[in-house]
Amino acid sequence: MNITDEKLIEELSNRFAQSRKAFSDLSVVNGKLLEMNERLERSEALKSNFLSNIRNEINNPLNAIIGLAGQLAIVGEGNKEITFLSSLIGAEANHLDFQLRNIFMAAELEAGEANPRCVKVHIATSLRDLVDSFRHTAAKKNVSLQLILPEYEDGALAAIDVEKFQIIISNLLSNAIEYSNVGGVVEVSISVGGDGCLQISVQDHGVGIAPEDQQRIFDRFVQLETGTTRSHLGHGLGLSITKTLVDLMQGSIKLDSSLGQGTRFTVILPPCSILEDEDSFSEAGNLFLFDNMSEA
Amino acid sequence: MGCGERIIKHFLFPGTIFADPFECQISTVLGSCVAVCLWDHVLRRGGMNHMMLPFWNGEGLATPKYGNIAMEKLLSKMLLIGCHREHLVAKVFGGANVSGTDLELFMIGDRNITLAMDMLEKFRIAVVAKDVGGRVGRKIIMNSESGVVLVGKGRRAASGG
Repeated sequence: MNITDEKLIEELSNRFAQSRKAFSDLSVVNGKLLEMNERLERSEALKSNFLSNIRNEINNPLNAIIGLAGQLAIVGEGNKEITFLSSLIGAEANHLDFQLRNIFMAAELEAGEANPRCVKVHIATSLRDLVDSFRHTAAKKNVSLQLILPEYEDGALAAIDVEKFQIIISNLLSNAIEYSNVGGVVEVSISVGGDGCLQISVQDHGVGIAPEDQQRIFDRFVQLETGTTRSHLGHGLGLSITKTLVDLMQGSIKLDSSLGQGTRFTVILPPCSILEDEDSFSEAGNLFLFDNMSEA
Repeated sequence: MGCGERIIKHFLFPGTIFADPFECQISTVLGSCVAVCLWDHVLRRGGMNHMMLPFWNGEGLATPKYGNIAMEKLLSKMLLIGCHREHLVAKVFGGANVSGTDLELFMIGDRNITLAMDMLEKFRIAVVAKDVGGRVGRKIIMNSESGVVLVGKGRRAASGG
């Protein structure tokens, strides 16, 4: 095929023009993206500051309400109505406390101030208390909670960050109850592996999660069913906090689920390498063998 | 956490930030992660972050695991403990290519370094020392009062934070 020089030059200059245009389009888009990212960061910063400022102002009165509801129950013992009302106040305030703990933990994580603080605890007791605190919520839906502890490890001590452990398990439990069918069963089991890893699983037999949605549930503010008609409570923060906490504790979380069959979340937490009041990390936690330190 | 009379030792976990008005010894262990130490040479106060990935993509929590967030938050924390931006200097460490591949997609270390350097330039903070890249992990220990950072290099290519 013969092409004249003029045609060749014309075609080439056309193509150059096209790529110049594409390039300038890209620069514009890139600029917009950067601008968007900055705006996002600014609003994130505003939100984080707000949360850390209001933390005490919310926590103090809430703790007072929880405490006073307990007092009221004691004072009004014998009076059916007072006992009923004070237990309602207590339950609602506890629910609010759980939600706020989540929000403040998210704020702490986003501020980069959440450090694992491990202490040795009696893990079975800790888990049993936690499960018991959800019996009231579960009873409302007629869901039964089963705690499965292997015989031998009753009495075993494990080094964990209790507060973070509680938040992780509370979120999984709360979800399992929320997404169970009425009259369903939620099973919580715990075991300690040979390498000292804690393995906790929370299993429900409820609606389940479709495979294509299984990654998305760990994102922030995601609830699979959205809109005003959604049938489940919550703000979609719980699982993103759970995931971030598990990451912070160098653990892992996985889920097995299929639609209509229920969901099982399994959390694996390695033993803490650093304990409160101990400086053991520098020896025990070294991941590498290092040459002599030099100054920079 | 106040540091008081005795120097408090703080181990910095990946994705967290530490800065304190008192003298502290901040240490961390780095693989492909990058840690930026900021130090106010007038006030003699310091802080450190530990980023694992360059950019927050809007999914999950916006934690300082992501470089762009870790840099902003460390700077604002430094200002919060009384430092002045124009008195700050930076030292940058980590960003090793520990996976041993040269595939650009996996060069998280390099991308973390680029992000940290770009952000410091944007903040107009001078980088007075750095020990970045390579194939081995590092352990760093910073004294927040003197601004001195000790670096220990891994003896072999290692995986980790």
